[in-house]
Order: sequence, then C-alpha cells, then structure tokens
Amino acid sequence: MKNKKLSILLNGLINENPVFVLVLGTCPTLATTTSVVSALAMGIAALAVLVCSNAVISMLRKVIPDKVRIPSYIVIIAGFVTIVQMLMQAYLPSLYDMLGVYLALIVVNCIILGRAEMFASKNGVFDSVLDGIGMGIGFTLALLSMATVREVFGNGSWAGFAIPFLKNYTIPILSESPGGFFVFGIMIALVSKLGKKPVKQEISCKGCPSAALCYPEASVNKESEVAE
Amino acid sequence: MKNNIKSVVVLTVICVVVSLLLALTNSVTAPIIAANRAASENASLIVVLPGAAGFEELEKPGDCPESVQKIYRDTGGSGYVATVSVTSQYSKSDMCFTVGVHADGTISDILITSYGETKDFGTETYPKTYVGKDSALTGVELYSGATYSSAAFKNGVSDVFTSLISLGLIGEGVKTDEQKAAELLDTVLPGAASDTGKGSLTEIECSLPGATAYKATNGTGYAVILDIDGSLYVCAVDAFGSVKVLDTDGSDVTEGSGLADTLKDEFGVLADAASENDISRLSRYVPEGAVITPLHPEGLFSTVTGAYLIESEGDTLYGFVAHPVGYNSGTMTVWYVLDGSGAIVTFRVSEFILNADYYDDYVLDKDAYVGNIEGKTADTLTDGDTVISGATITSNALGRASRDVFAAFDAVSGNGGAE
Repeated sequence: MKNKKLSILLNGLINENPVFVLVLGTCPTLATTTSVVSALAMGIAALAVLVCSNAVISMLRKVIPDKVRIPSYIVIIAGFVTIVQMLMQAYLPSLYDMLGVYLALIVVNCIILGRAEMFASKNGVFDSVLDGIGMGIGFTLALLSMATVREVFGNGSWAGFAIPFLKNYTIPILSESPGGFFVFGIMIALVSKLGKKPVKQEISCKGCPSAALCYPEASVNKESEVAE
Repeated sequence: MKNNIKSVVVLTVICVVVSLLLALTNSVTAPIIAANRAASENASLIVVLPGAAGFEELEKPGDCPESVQKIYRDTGGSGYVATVSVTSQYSKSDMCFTVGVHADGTISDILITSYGETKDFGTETYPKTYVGKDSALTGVELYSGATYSSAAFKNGVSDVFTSLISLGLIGEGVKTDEQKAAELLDTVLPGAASDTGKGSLTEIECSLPGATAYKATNGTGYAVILDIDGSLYVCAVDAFGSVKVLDTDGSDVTEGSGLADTLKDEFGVLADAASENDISRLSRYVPEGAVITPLHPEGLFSTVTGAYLIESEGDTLYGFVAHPVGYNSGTMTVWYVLDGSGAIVTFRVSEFILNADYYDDYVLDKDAYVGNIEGKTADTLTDGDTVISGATITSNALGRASRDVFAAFDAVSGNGGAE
C-alpha cells in the first residue's frame, strides 16, 4: 500500500515525466526555460494548479456526468489558474511580469487536463493529490534542468547570478528558440536512456476500429468474438 | 432527458462555485494589484524627485505644449514632475523622458524612459547636464554629432518649464546675455538655417577684438557675436555684404552701431568671390553673347548668394543663385533665370536632388519637375509645385530658395540694383 502511494508520487519524476517522457506541456517548457527563475515560477504555478485541480476533479468524479466531463474540467482548471494569476499579480508582481502570457496558458497545458482525464477522474482524492504533486514536481524539475543548461551555457549565469569563468564563453543560440529545441531533444534522449525500459508490446489489430478497412478477415474475427 | 438536465445543472453549479471563488480572491487581491500598478507607474517619478511623499496629477494648462504628457505635483511640496514625449523629423520613434523640477524651479533629475534614436546620444550622461538648471537652461549644450536628438530633448525640457510657468508653479529663469546671444545666432542669418530653423554655422578665426565668428556652411554669409565694453551684439553679414546688428534683446541696432563698414571690411563680400563661377554657369542658360553683370541687392539675409543682370539683344533677364540647406544639412545649389516680369524662365538644381536614383523605389521625372516650376511667378508658384514625393526637407528647401529669389528680384528689379 505504502509502496503504491510512493510509486504514484515518484512516477512523475522520471518514468512518466510529463515533459521528457509524455512530451506534454512543450510550449511553456520552451518559453520559460530561458532563465532558472522563470522556469521555477512556472513549475510552482503549474504544480499548484495540478494539485488543486486533481483534488477537486477527483472529489467530483462521481458527480460530473460523462457528457460534460471536459467542459467541467476546463472550468475547474481555469478557475484555479485565474486564482493563481491573481495571487501572483498581487504578491509576486515581478514573477507575474516575467511569466507573462504563459501563466494564463496553464489552462490549456496538456499536463493538467491530461492527468485530470487519465488519473484524477478514476482515482481517489489522496491518490490524485499524490499524482498531482508527483507530476508537478516532475514538471518543475524538468523545467529547472532545461533552464539550468540554457541559462548557464547560453547566458553565463544561473538564476541571475553571473558565472565569471563562463561569461565570455556563452553559446547565445541556447537562449533562443532553436537552442531550446536542441536542449529539449537531448534531455528527452537522456531521460529515455536513464528511465525504465518500456515493455515491448505486441502490435495487433484486435480492438482497432479501423481493422475492417485494413484486414477484412480481422472484422470477421471481431464479429465472431462479439457473437461469443 | 434526465441526463441532459443533470449535465446542465452540474456544469452550472460548477461555474457558479468557481465564479464565487474567483470573486472572493479578486476582492482580496484587487486592492493590492492596484497599489502595485500605481507604484510601478510612479517608479520613474520617484527616481527624478526622490523623497517625494506622493504624486497628484495636475490638469495641464490650455496652452500646454504637445510634448508634455502629464504633470504631477509632489504632495509633500518638494517639487513637480512631468512626463514628456518628443519626436524629431529624423527619428522613427518617440523619445520619452521624465523631468523632475524642484519647487525653486531648478531641475532635480531627468530620466529617459524610452529612446529609439542614434546610439551615440548618451542617454545616461547627457540628461545629467541639465540637473540644477532653471528655465533659462544656461550652459546646456547640444550634443555634437547627434544635434537633432539633443535639440528635441532640449525643446522637450523647455516645454516642461513653459507648462510649469504657465500654471504659475515656478518662476521664469533669467537668461544670461551669452545665452540670449547664442539663441539669436539661429535667427540673425536666416539664410543659413536648415528646415528645423537651426543655423548651419561653423566657427572661424576673426581678427576683430572680442568677436566670436561663424561662417554659414552654405556660403550665405557670416554671423558674429561681438563683445563691446561688456555688451554683447549679434551681427550678420550676408553674401552681398549687407550688415545687421542685434542687441541681446533682439532689437535691430544696425544704424546706431557704426559696425557696418568694420564687419564688411573684415569678412568681404562672398557674392563677389563667387561671381566668376556663377557667371560661367549662368551663361549656359541664357542666349549666347548675353552680358551678365553682378548685382548687389541689399538687406536680403536669405539663401540667395548671387544676383545678376543679363542683357541680350534688348531683352533683360535676371539670374540668381541660391544655396538652401537641404537633406542631412547638405547645401543645395539652385539656379534661376527670371524675365523682366519676374516669371521663372530657367530653373536648375545642382547636386543630387534631380537624379533619378535619388532614393529607392522612386523615380523623379526631372523634366516634368522642372517644367512645373518654369513659367511661375511669385504669385503663381505654390508649395505644391516644389514638392518631391517623400522628400519633405528637399521640397521645403527648394520652396524657400524660390521665395528668396522672388524677394531678391523685387529688390533688384525696381531700380536695376547696385553694380
């Protein structure tokens, strides 16, 4: 039991890291990782929204009808994002200015809606909160690691503090969009190497709705399965 | 049906609850956000007037210059702050800055908040030269090499003082005689001025005691600041040797000064020095064998540097040469031949202006342009006739030259001019 809870928490860190494994939330990842401070701010904001939205959606999972599942999730997520925005604008205005439009874009961040759909809507509140925390920390760590590489080697600083011996040897393209993609690809490759090897799955047409188009004989098999 | 109703009810309840939560959060954070916003807007105001207790926006006076955007008063009484936005015809973007003025009328600080002009303007250092100055701006110099930027800046600062004085908030500063004399240099020799009204002058050596002399870069004359027994006079000698003397209040004191002959002897007559070249050039535009005689119209002080009587087989024509200051402070040379009634018979421009490749994507029809001006008189030539599309400064310069030539014609044609 304890191991299961721990595995839910740790899942989002490497094995199912939302950025490097699930490849979700790429837009804010590339946009906010030019500096460590903005990456950290984005990560923490997303973590807060993830935890809160997972908890509420899990609480309401048996109440929300299937027909209005997605609109309800969006309203809940948007509400929490707006609350985080207002709190940041009031108490952390410099971070709010730094994140700009990407703070509001957390609403459409695939990680939030994805976890709500895949986990929170099917599990209890505590497990959903743990999942939110795990995914949020994984997202934050992913942003932090990318931002560290891009800021250190692209700008010769870390969190705004200049690194003297690197200042004159920066690689400016790392601070630009192409550099972001380079770093992103390398990090995905690295995590893929370090992470759990996926189980090789046998590919078959069973259960595929388009099977009849590709293999008419497959549709015959399916009918006979249904008949049975 | 039941499911649909349930869907609508659940979604509505979720929306209402979320809205209530948002309203609650907003009620807590809105005042803090408003305070943050006000602090951020006031940030530049505090920088130029440190120690201010707070800022209260004042209503601008009716005659407030356009460059002044907002005027604030420190609620603690230490002074005033104004935000300014200026443009110059050479810049694509505005220059915005904030000026702080102490209650005694001296500048506390100036902060440039937005700037898009030449990099060598000196945004950090140049504004500091204004600190401590009053509305007279004594000793403030224009930045060499980027004059149009510093001129716009200085004008903006002057506009702030104009507004504050107009509101009765500060007193007017007293200008020194040196400052008044320097300002009169731009107006004493109008022919040397560019499209902005600023004189295009170069300092030269002068043997007169107590004199600082300048030559107009376009050859239209000389300007001199003379110190005679502690009193400053601003003098001009035009291309034909006419002399004008102004005191520091701008009053014309030529007659009583006794300086006319002295200045004429010192600087000579530029028109005489150029006459050989002018005659050689004018002879291309007049009938062969015409006799061209220099004239000396008096009191022009304009862009005209040469005036000639042209006589040919009983016909009398008048030739003029003008040197208006054109684009990029360059000197243009414009040739006119007028008939006895003052109509332009021949019009030519030297230098680049009528070249077809004057600037990208525009081809000037040279013959059509010249044809538009030839035949016109002082009464029929309009500003539109000298317009070149997209070349405002050059168009204005040609308009000025034309008007000056008509005035010179009036001066020489009445009595035939002095030879």
